[in-house]
Amino acid sequence: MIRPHRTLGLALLAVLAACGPADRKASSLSPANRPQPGATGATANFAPNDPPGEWRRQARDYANTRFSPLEQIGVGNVARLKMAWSFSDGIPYGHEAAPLVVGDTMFVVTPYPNVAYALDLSKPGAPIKWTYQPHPDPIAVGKACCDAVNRGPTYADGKLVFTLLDGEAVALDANTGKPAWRVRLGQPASGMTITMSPLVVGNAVLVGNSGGEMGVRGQLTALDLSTGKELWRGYSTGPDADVKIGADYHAPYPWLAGKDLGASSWPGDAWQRGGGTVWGWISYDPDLNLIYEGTSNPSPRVPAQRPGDNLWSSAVFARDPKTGSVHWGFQFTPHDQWDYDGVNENILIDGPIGGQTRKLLVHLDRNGFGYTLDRSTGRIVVAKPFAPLNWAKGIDPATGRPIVDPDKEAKVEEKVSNICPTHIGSKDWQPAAFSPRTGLIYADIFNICMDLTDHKVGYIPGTPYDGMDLTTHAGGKTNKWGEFIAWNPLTGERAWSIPETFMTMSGVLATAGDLVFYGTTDGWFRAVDARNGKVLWSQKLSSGITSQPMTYLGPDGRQYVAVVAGVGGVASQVMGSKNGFPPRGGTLYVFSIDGVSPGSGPGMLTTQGSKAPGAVYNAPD
Amino acid sequence: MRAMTLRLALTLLATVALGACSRSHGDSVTGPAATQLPADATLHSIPMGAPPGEPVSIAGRIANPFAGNAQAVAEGKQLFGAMNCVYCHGAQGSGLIGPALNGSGWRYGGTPAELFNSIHDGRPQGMPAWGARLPPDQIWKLVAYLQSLGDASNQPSTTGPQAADQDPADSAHQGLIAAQRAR
Repeated sequence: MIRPHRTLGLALLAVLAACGPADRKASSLSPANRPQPGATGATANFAPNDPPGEWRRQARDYANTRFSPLEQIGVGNVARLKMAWSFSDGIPYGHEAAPLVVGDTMFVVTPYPNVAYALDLSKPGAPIKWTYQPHPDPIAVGKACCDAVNRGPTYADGKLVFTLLDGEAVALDANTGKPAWRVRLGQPASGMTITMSPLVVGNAVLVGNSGGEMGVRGQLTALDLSTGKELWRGYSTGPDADVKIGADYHAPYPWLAGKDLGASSWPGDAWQRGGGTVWGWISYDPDLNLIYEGTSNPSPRVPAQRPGDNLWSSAVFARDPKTGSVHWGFQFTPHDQWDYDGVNENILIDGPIGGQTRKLLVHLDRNGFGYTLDRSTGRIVVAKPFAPLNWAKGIDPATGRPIVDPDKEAKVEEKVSNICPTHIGSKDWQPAAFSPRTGLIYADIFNICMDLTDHKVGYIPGTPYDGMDLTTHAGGKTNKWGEFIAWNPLTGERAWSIPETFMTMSGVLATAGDLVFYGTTDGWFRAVDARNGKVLWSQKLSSGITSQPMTYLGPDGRQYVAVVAGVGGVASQVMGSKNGFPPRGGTLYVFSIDGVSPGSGPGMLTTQGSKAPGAVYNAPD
Repeated sequence: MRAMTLRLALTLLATVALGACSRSHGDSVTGPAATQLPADATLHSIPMGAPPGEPVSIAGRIANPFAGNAQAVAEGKQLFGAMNCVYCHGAQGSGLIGPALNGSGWRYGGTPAELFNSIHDGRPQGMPAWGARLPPDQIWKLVAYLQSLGDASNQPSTTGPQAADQDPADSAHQGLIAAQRAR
């Protein structure tokens, strides 16, 4: 008799949780983020501890967990998720951003032409409150390597801050949409564009750049949040003074110590056109007061033209957010021959290693290795493949350097077959999530290999400095191009995985409801039990998903889950010609339990047909 | 005299630019001295968007002096690689960052003179103005190469209706990878 009652009680609780308004401001951080039985023991600092129902930056928190403490939607009721409302921006470029929710407002920033919308969540159908059209220079469309994408806005101190494709950053008054400042950080005619989402730390807006395929030199610039004035700029290549390597710097390994490595690890002045652009994610540890920034592939993509390690391309920096001063730097792929980059997100967690709690940085690199570094020092704690790879035989524990397979090195005018992973890696920029309840990392990854022939290239400003001539194929014999994995960052092992036929290239959302959400490039949006990988809910959307799901609490106290369907970016370049690959789109879908929201859903109809004055039609009895 | 100097400088510049690329080896890319090129003034008088019903636009009356010349097409193809066109427009002009050039639709017109102007003057969505880097005869050879891809445009699309769309976002669907498979 006890069992049915318990089930009934749980069901009732679920219904109540789904329908009853909740206090949006009440802190649900605890026990929502407490490790559950069977967890790895890894936790995180969720600073700046925003209100639990809000989503103020792309990764939600400084640590880049993409974990929400909301739990109204959980494993018990997620199967009842239905669309509550939607919003289309009509733009055909790849959608890679998450919307933000602050107070009663949702903020959406589109791909080029980077239009910003504020939607009023307190009104039925979330009507547009204001629109901002920046009209960036269209020249940028033809300079962006991988589609005219944007990875979303960030909110801080009453401002909505985001980047424009043509190399600008802008801050709007979040209430009115009126620009507070707009700053140019580079010239698109030279090949520089910006696609990344800024991070705000204190009064510093941190903005990187794109153009590693065009010979653009990587840079991270800090702008004053109130004025847009430049506070500091650190380059990814060149002399120490440019990189901001000085007295604070401590090399994690001896090969990363030495004067002006950002210049001397290149032939001649090649570092000036050397890439190492900063188009990924920035995370921040308020205790160590360090930001973590990944850098892109070196330019040109042909390694024969740039002998040396090519520092600091395909690397990660730990910098002081106030000065830009580098505390340590680590290069994942020295002399990157395959376009592997180092831009992927760095998730900051704390976890037990050998009986001791360590401050860690988890980074699933494009090169296929899952790195867990000590984020105080940059030294490797764990480095194991999270996907099949063959370009390296492992990581040398003494140096942290990959042991490269000479058979898979890129060659000029000679085809090298079946290099795994392909140029976009085992996982690209699409960010993973971390749940403190399981202690696992969740990521959309790829299973793609390439046949590669290099051609030497000449540098012509504003044109691709590329030279990679490649064809791709699915790895192994599965013909599964994508996979969703749960990764134990403390041991470097998979907990479970879900293979997918099409590429999986969305961000991941983890919630205190023990759910993880991800999308596929053929348009499936799925909710999975974070503990065991069981798919609990799937919804096919109008286009493929290369954006980032998020969740929020509406003004009505209900939990919503939102994601944009609008495939594009590198996914369309790699898989666009494959049979069944969906067309483009740009629609934001917002889901709730039973599809209920103010003004919509069952029983929510507030208007009905009435007899118009002067109507002459009489219905027969 | 001044025109001569400019022409010499442009040729030198192009030679330097070509020298930077390993794939630019081989025969000279300078055309036969006797070839008569269309006058600049004529090219710049081409109106954008000829009125409907106009029997033959001025653009359609300007012929490419190198059209169908196998040597010129080969040199144009070489330039297409050396000037990095290939990494924007894809192998055989199938599209990647920039739009497809293999006849699946032309945003700014597909007559030889319109193609010349697109290359010479650049276009707003990122196409550089190559008139500052390449002498007219080399641009006409690039046009000759693009004209030679015309046959490809008559092949049925393998990627569905998106291939015919002129938006770069959609031309990216085809991708360098798909294009290189077809190489």
